Amino acid sequence: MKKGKSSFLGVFASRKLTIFIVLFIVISAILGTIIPQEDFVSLESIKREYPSFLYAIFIRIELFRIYHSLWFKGLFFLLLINIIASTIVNLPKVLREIKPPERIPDPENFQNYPFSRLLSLPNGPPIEKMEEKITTDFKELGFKIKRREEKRVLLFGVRGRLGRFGFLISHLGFILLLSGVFISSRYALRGRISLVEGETTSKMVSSDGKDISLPFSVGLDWAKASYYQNGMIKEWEARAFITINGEKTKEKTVRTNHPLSFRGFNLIIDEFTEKAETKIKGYTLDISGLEGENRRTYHITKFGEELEYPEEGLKVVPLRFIPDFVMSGTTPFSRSQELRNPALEIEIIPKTGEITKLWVLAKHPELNRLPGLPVTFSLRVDKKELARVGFELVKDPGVKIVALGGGVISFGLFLILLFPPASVVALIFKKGKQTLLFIGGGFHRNYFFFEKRMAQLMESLRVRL
Amino acid sequence: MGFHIQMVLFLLSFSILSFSFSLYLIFLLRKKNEWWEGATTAGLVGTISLASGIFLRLLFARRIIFSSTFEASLLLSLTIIIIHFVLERHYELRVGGVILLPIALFFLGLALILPEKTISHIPPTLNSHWFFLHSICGVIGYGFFSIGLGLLLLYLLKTRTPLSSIGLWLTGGVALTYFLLDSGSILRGSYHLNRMILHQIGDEKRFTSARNVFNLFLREGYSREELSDLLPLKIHIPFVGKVFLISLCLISISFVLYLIYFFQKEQKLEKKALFFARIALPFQVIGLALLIYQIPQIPEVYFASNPFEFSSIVSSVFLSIFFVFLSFSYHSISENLPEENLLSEVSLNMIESGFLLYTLSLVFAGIWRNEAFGNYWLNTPSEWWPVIGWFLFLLSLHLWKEERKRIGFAFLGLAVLLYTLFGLGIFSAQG
Repeated sequence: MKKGKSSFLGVFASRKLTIFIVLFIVISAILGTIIPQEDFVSLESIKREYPSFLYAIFIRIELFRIYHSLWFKGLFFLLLINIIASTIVNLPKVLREIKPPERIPDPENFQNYPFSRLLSLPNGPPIEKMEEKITTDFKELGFKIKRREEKRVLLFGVRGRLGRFGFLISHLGFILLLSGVFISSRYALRGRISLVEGETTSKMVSSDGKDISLPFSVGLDWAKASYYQNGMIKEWEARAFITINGEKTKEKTVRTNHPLSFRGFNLIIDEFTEKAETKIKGYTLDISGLEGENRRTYHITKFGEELEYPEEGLKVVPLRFIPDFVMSGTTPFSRSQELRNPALEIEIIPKTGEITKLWVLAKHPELNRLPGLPVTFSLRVDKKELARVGFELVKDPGVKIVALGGGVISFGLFLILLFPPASVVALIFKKGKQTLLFIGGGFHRNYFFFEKRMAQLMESLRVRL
Repeated sequence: MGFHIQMVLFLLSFSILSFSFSLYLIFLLRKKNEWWEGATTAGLVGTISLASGIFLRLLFARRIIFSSTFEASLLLSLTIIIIHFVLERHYELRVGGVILLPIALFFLGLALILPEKTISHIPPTLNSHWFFLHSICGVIGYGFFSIGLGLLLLYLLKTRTPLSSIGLWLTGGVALTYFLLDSGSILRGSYHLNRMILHQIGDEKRFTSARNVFNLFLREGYSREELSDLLPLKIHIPFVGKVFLISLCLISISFVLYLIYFFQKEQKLEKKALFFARIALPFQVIGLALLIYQIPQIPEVYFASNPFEFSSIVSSVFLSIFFVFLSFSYHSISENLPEENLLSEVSLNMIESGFLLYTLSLVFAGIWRNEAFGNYWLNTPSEWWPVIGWFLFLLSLHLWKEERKRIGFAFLGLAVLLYTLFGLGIFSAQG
């Protein structure tokens, strides 16, 4: 395959194309931050702000949804192709550069090196001695030296091989990152779950309001918030659990920045309402004599169970509860679900005589007695304020690939920075009575420093040899 | 008490570093080592003072996370100074202080005039190791970028970039700054919270950046009613408006002349342009002096009432001083600067180091966002602007063989990153 600049691959691998695409992306992204986007502002309100002809043009070229437009995604696709092509084109070049030349080059070719010097030594020392000195000097500069001999002696050294691969690794990282973003945009599943303490659900609500069934249930045991002294929120905590077929599979105290992870899903706490709902745990019924003597306390958790009051030989059966008691004629009913006027209906079975019913009111104890009955009742509702927690439930298979891509890009950059690639060659040969020494060097970065050190090296060689 | 000690240390370091800068400047002109030694010693004292202040602040806050613009600016300033000293030692870049200290002083000064300096608790979402890594890498990366750009400026001076080109860019930049500041009404002699708030209250324009400024002040604890009461308040500062208006006119004339010179290359034009830039300077200095003198005497306002506007004015005046100073001694300054290849390569190394740290910062930000909010990316300006800056530096690094383009993209990149750090919350349409 032809791999010159004119080839098909060469066109896609060109740096000019990279610059063009990246500039286009930059300009488009800036426009997206200036022009209102329908992700944040409704199209109706945008329409009011723009003249109709401009609005129509902008709609057509998707300027109100730049980041979701096909052309914007196309730019990234083109960038991806560009990076892949440039990696393919440059890889052989990199491999070639870190290997010693297959044939010993002619001295004329050394002019191609960014740094090249010729030292002519009439009556110079033997080649072996020169070779030894140059090898020592090159090694001091951090080069690993290889030797080849075919009439002439060639010394070749490379350092910073890893750095030469840095750009390839960074490109690979970028390819990974863009692939991760693509996977995220296609396959990420996200929704919201809102749970009150004690609740469980197997559905989440997507951003467009649709219910999505989950292959498991999410439950919330408890939740609490802690505060700084000035009242600012310090942390939210929620004990969440996962159940499959009613069996608890995993549980964790979810905190901000510490989600619960389960089968690729992340459960993230992002909303908290401290006293969202009130839950009735049970009722406490006190029975005592008319003067408050012989008081007995009963905790009711079930209706229909008989409670005994032995002092008067009574039995009491709790029947039902109404949170906001009102009478309509002779029919009691609840005005609301709030605990405004809690009332408990009980059945009183005396030792002898008729069975009667009574509504015991929590807020009006003076009414909780019956004529002829030597006892009085009082009611307390055992309640608990429940917190509501909003969770974000996300399954995004692209996240790890994006993070890996970012890490690989950084690693590549790290290699470029830490191992600046450089190569040196020395060619020693006899020409008549003269010993000639060519020294050349190629440096991808830090040319200034290498040039200085190489010049120093040449000077020291000249003096010593 | 602790807060006051910190502030004293920060003010002290600002003064000492300013003194150190002036010694570096003298060293650049005189080239005598005594001046450099004095500058370095003063710089070190200033750095210790700044570092101690930051350390005390973190000690009192009982956290290591830099959560506010104030703290980020302090750390950025400290980073720049420390790297400057490392470069000075490693590469013998002795005149680096001439450009790097003013950059550090700019960030330190901006921090000192920011209204919110008290130690605040961090919201639960920011209490994360990933966020810590993101902020540290980001700020240090900014430091490297700033130094890289500072050295590129020296490179431009060393390579004897024509004074007319420098004049064109500087007068253009200063004129644009004053022109934009008109929205903040300085040129009309008023210094109030912000004209943009007026827009927001007045006609509820949806897409003005006012909403964000308004929200900023709401977050600062002002109630909506208080802000409405505040609106008619326009503090008139005598003469300042007129003086800055004259400055704007003169500097604009200079810019236009430089622009014409750029195409016609007539020496007369360049001389006239320089003349106007020079006579604009006293007016700018007088305007700034009037502002600094009169604001403390008016109880309703203080410098921090409008920190970004104020720091823009200060920067513009200092840029003008720099240009006029340069126009008198360009040759000797250029002569005394280090070799151009050294400046070019060190700046490239700095930008590459900054790019690595900034890339890591973006990666950490994504990981943090994913843990805190369940997504690593949203299409908001807060996500896009940092990436735009990253792309611009990427272009700069890919153009390392083409010096001018490399410098241009690096400058654009830093401008975008500064906007991201300081301006995004205020000026963005959808921030």
